[in-house]
Amino acid sequence: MPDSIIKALSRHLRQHPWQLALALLGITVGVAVIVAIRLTQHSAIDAFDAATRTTTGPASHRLLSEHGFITHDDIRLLDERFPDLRRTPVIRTLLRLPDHGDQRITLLGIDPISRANLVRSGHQREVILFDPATLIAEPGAAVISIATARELGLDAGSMLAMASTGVVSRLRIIAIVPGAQAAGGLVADLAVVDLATAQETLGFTDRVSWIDVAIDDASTRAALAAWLPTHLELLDLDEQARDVRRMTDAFYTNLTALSLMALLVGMFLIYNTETFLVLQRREIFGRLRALGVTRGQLLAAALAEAAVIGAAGSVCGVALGVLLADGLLAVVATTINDLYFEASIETLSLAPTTLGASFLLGVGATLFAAYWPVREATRVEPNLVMTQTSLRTHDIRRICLVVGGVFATCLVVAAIALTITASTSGGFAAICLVVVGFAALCPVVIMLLALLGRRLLGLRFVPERLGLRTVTASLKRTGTATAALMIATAASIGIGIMVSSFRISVSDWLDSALRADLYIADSAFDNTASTNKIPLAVAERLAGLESVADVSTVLRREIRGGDGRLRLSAFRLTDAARAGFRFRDGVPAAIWPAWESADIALVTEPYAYHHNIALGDELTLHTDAGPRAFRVAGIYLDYASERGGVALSRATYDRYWESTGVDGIGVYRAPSADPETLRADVTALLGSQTTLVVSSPAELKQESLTVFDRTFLITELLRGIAVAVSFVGILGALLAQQLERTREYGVLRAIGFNVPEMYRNVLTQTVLLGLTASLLAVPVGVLIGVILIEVINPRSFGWTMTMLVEPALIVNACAVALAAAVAAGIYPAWRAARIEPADAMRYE
Amino acid sequence: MIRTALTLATAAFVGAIIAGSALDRDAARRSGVAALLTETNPPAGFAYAREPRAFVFPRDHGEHPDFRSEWWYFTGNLNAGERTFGFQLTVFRFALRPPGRGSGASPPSPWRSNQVYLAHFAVSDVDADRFYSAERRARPALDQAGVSTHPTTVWLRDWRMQRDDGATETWHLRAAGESAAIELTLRAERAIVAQGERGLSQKSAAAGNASYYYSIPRFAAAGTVAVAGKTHAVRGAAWFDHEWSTSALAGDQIGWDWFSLQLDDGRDLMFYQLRDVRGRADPASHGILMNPDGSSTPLTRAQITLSVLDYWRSPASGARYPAAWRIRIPDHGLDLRVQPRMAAQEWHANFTYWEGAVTATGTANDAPVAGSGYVELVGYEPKR
Repeated sequence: MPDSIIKALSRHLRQHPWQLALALLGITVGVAVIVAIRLTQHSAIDAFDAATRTTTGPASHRLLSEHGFITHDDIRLLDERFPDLRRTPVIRTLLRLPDHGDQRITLLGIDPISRANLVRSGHQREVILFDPATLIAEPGAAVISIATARELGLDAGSMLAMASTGVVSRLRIIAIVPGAQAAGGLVADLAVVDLATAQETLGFTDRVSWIDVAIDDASTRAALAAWLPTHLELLDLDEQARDVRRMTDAFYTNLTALSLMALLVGMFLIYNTETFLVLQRREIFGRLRALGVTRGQLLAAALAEAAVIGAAGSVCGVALGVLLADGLLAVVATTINDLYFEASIETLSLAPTTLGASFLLGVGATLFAAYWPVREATRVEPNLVMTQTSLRTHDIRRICLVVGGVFATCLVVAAIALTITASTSGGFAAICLVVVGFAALCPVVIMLLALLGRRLLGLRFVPERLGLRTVTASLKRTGTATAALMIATAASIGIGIMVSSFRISVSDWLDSALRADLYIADSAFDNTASTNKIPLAVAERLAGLESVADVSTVLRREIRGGDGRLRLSAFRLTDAARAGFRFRDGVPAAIWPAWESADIALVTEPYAYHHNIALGDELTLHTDAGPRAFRVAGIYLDYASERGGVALSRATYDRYWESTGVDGIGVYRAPSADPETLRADVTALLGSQTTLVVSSPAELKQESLTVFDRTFLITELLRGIAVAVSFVGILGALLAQQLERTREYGVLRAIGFNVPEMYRNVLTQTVLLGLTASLLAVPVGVLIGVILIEVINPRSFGWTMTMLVEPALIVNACAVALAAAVAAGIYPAWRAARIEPADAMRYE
Repeated sequence: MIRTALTLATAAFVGAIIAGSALDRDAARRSGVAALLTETNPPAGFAYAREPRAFVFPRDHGEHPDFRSEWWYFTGNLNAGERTFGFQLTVFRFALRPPGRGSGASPPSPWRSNQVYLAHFAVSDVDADRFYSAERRARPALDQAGVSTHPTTVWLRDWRMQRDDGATETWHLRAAGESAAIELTLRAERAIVAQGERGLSQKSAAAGNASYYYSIPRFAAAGTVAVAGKTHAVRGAAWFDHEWSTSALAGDQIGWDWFSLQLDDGRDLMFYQLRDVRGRADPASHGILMNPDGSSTPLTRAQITLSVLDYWRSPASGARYPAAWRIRIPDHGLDLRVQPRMAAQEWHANFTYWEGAVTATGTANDAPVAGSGYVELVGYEPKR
């Protein structure tokens, strides 16, 4: 018996291959998006881990010095006190490659001997893919990754010139090892050398950048911490890695939310196609029931069919997803590198679990989506199944009641989720609830719009009125398709609002902050080693130029604060530069008079958020003279770093720390001089001695916004994909429904509808759906935008931003939704218009 | 002597010792000890042991950086009342390249060196049946490791072997691991014995496959041993070997058994046998019997009968080691039963070997004789 059921069911599919194709398409696209995003995420995280491992090895802690480097004397003292400590010195710095257009490369100097001691229980030993003996014994020997070799056009045996403080050294490439795919792999733009080679290349023989340490037990950690001289600091690398992971996680939460949105749309599509497949075969179901097939058998057969379709679609989806991920990877890699770390994400990690899980998700979603329509179709009595169902008045009332209830519940729960949780997941939960709540409104809004339309149209416009009636009569099917279209459109609007608001906030901030006429920075600036500083004398000489009215300077360094390391900026600010600060908390009139004389500090908004700092709080900073308290006098907007930092005046800094040059200089033009003269004077003064780069504020702004746009390129791409998915899906779903009505249209043709009237009838239906989706998408999209801006972003990064709703964005999104709806109507309308009444009626 | 091979393991598997990387460790395991023994192509420029050599002391206690590898090896059996301890302190020097090829940088980095040092320190707490072992590696930068003269000192961080300047051989050993430490003064009770042919110890028929090798077979040791937080005053006997070479054994040896025994009739016995892949002793195996007056008699393989009486399987490595022997040297009236003081004296550093304190009992010319010493067993780990 089951065989014959399946045969009966599948015969229909064979006769209507396009229905099968549409169902497969829905599943494929839904699964593909999930797979693509998950794979991209995994690849990025794998690359991140590999990059971390390469620089830290299996170290658990890092010894850093306030001075920015560890002296050999520090090492001797450490060895004397802890002769068995598993520790290895490291030198890390950025260098220019004069033969490669001044591209920069990270020079990592390691001691392979002591690095081999960094073994931690429960951790794998580091695999070394090159001969450490040659690295140690051959002066100037270096190891690079395949990616770096390819990029720089180097082979094993090639020489690589590196410039440091004016001196060019030539390194010989002794080995090229695979990139970030294996443990111990090298990140891009990194040359690994022996400690001795590193020191000789950099021209110093008394220091290293830091010491990596592997500590397994708390007692060693405590003993080390107790021993530490004041200028040294023990950094917990696992904790730091967790911090970075947390930040990248925040980034990926956004992407995952997007992928879930895609799945939600995908499920709607699957539900829709499955409903359609079932409804199409009501008659067959009815006949089979009438022939004595039990409900259970029918249900099982239909679900088996759904599973097969789901499996086929999911396999295609996984394959498509892998292809898609390959494309996304390049985009994500750039973003991640801009934001967090230098990792080369070049290999797609095809995690079998991800692929497997996505496959199961696809099949599961198909079964879930198929179950309800199948159950409904198998439940009704045989004779009833053979006739179409349409909504009766009491049905409508019931639907309104249920929908209203769902809507209100969702919004209330969303509000509760937002208020009681402080995490981003609360925000995402709220977004989901808002989306579901509004999605539930779809059928009601369709009815209301149809009713309104009929009122407005009056008694004329018969084809339109008929179209509106048809839609209301088949709400169960049109409702879901409309909801899917609405969700995609709303997501697109919401994310669009967030990105454009963010961008305008950053742009405004740059306009406000970049007050000088020219900026000077060291291109070899390296915030990890903090070895390259511009001498203060350069700033003084610049200030002496006739074309220069004034200069501002900034010194950046990492120091120890009360709870961990922080980035400190010491500013010497001109009045114009002061005006560039925008405070969220704090009054300029109260801050600036005390700025240089009092022990006050300013903190950036993300720093205040992450460290829970309010105006007037005391902030402990470890100065050269020991810990000192600084009062927080202001919290200012700064989008430069999501970790944030603390700012002091240079005068205050000089009171507590030894002076060490500056990292950036802002040059202000004298009123008498023109911009060209200024630039020429400054360039002439800096001379050819130059790792120093001169940029205009416009150039800096452009550069920053380029980075910003790269960061959100992935978001924009995903938004595009989500819209495309729903467009195709909606097209398919509406198309299927319209095609189902072939016979109805035949009747209309038979009773005298002409070709234009047929078009009007069909298009009215799809436009109504598109209109409903657009109308609902606007408030939902704005709400999503509000939650992203007001909840998700502050909770992830601590940034606030001005909300900007660009009408063009909303118009565009709605236009796409309407276009999808209209496009979905054109082919069925064309077909309907071509039907010969006689042909259509033959089915009667 | 044969422990040169241990140093040469460094040569063949720089990665294993220097870098201790997982990759190279697997490679070492795959290739077996034969590969560890055989370095076919040491970089050109090293000196070779080709002629007998007149040792000059204390100069020759120092390092010989022209040679590829070198080691200083102290072992001994100690007593604290009823308690017995064994100890081993070894420093290996290994040259990645011959000296004299500096970087030309001025000033050169203090890290610039072709030498690598490795040290092994172990204490066998016989009564508690505990074996403490620790390994250190360093390059001779920032005084982390090295050899200096006046006084002769061999050190790796705070592990050190230091000789008092002067004519007598008095050495001070100091080493501490996580839960064991020694601090010993050793006074030589025997003269320095040049091994092989006036110090040239031939390793195979091939010319240059030899080392320079001498021993001080008996010291009176006194000092302290600390284990598990408790310090014991100890007395006992110790043995010192110093050997350097560039070329190794060639061929099919898979391991060796090395014995050093101090007998209470005043004689000291050193004996080793090389085993080939089929488990047979190599003809190059030999020994030496040293008399209290400083005279000594070489022993050929044929003069010695060695039979294994018992085995022990290491639960950690799965290796099955001989665990009791009968050594007969009829020409000198010796019939000894040699037994480990405890079974678990196995090293799990980058490669696995057994090095432990042993006792000897038996007869010397039919009179009862007893003794103690150290045995080293290499090449027993199961093949993978």
